[in-house]
Amino acid sequence: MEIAEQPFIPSLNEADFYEGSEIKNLRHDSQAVIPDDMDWSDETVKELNKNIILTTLDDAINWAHKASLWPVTCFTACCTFEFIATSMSRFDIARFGMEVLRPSPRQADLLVCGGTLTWKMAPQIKRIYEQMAEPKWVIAMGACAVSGGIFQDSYAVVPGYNHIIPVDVYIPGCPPRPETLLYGLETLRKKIDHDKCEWEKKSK
Amino acid sequence: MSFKTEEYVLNVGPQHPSTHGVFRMRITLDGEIVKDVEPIFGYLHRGVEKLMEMRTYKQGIPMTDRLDYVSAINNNWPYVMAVEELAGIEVPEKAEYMRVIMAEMQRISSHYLAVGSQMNDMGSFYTVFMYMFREREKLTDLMEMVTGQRMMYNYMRFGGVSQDFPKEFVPLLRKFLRIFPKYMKEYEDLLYDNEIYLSRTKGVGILTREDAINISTSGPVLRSAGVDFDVRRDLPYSIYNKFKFDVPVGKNGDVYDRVWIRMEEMKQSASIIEQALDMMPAEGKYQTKVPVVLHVPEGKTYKRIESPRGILGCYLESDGSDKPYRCHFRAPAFINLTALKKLMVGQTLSDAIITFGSVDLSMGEVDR
Amino acid sequence: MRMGKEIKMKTYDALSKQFEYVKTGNGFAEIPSENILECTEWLKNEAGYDYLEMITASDHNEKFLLVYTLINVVDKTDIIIRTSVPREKPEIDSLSNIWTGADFQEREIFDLMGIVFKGHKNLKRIVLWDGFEGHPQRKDFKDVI
Repeated sequence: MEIAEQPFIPSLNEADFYEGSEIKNLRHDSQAVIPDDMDWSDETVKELNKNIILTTLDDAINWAHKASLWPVTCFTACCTFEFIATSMSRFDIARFGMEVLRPSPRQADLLVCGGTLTWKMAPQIKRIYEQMAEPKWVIAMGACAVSGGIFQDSYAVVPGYNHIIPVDVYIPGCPPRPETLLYGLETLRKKIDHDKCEWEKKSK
Repeated sequence: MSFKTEEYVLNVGPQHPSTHGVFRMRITLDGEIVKDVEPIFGYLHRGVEKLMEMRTYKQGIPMTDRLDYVSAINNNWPYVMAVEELAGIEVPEKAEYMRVIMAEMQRISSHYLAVGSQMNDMGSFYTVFMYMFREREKLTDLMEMVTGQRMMYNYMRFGGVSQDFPKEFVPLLRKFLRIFPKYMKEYEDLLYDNEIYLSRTKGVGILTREDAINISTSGPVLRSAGVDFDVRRDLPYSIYNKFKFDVPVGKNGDVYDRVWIRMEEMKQSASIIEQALDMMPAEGKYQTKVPVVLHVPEGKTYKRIESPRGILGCYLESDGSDKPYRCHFRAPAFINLTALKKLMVGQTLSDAIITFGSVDLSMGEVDR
Repeated sequence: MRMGKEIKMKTYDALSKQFEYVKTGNGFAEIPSENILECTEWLKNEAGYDYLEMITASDHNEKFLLVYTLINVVDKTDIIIRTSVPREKPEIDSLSNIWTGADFQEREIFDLMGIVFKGHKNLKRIVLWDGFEGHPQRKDFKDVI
């Protein structure tokens, strides 16, 4: 009979040092940018699908996805308050189906990254992205999320979210106005229109 | 019959469904009672103090905006005052009045956000928050009319402010101040007689007077414990000695007192804005002429103001060149955090979350 | 305010009469780093300056300069104290056993500048992650990836 192994439970101090070494390894591995997926806008790559059942099925599924995107609340810094102002009664995002802000990533399909990302927070963002179920989309909101912004040459700042997770739409601004954010969401909905029934190319 | 119990360490992680920012706590629980709390932060540490040494003085003003991003204009003020003292720059009188008006408007909108997110933590699920954003949008529109930006204003300069008030601004501001008391009465009717609100906030999170002074708290947290200290009245800066206003002081030191102090401070800010609009000179310069590349003579100084969260100070050292040698910000939210251990231990978990919300943190300031 | 200035001058005079190593002038008091605990305890218990407002440090090549500011809440005045520690042995007594408000500020100065506070109960990194090498606020910091 085999005796089951005891699970390894570190003390609180050891857990802090494990977190520190995880951050150091992630920083060493993430110096290059994850390339963007540009196939959706390239005309030569799209193949003509003559099967009318599959194209209608594509349209129906894409309409269901884009009309009810549920974002996960993962806000780090100042761009938070422009997102909250967009979700309040003046610039409403409930009319796009997005009023349900889920705190748990397992129940959401859109990650709106608002705010500066530091190396200390980077493993947690990667973990949240991996916990979301397919299909999922990522929006990088604000100058700090696109490229590091005004803090680009600091010792503790990741220069852009696309070093850690793949990004679909970039929204510039510091912070972007609510109208800019709504335009970015409209661009994401146009991108979702071009999705096909094969989901394999989305997972990494 | 006796139960065998164990203590359990709960991690309230950096991502959580509240609007306070990336803040993490490790709470040791015995059933529902909190035994120990360890705050962990640094998830938004961007190295602002080191970056300011690599930028010129004028390029540092937008960086100070991003420290306490909820009330952005107040962060410019101590930095600009410190440079003006070292370089010997005079500020014209009209510019002082403009600075006071913008800072008090920012205080009202910051307190709206603080009380709104406190109600979120109590479970009102964005109702009061949405109503308070109605006023905040009006104030943001007024500020956009003057500065051109909705959130990171970058308005103060060395020797004054960057732009004059447009001619539509003052009548619209007076119209807002006329309907402001009606909105405040709406919130008071909604909250102060509500039995659920009273039983959840009275007697919760009590801070005594000796503890409040020993822990160096400031702002509404210090005043709720009975200490009558406000930098605008006691160590006055700029032209605050010309205005008449009351400073609300609490009696018990609980969460009810802190929310009450914030609501009263909003009314006092509105009366300061009215007095400033009446006393402001109609003609005058809004900025002294300052060279494009500013070389500040050697020296060290420390200046403080009263921000919505407490005493915000800037310690500045210069060595004669065009970049600062050392610039440090005394952040009120960072030091008020030390009081969490005293406040939260011994209460149930749901009361502990409300107490944490009443301290009113802004993570950009805590981590810098 | 004139009354505040007079009380401040009286405090500086009383301080230099009490301890002979104190040098006053130009709006601050300068003391050697071994006597910081004695001086601040006298200011807290006898002179009424019981509110510690700020502790900060800066790097001046051969030494580190430390600045403390204290406030008297009843008389509404403030006082500034300066001290310095040498770069080869940056150690000073901690004030966190008298004032709880000094706790996080001293941890942050240890994290970013590398000054060790003797007698602090929990001196470890606070804004950077455990395992970070170096002290970023120093002038000769080089980042290693």
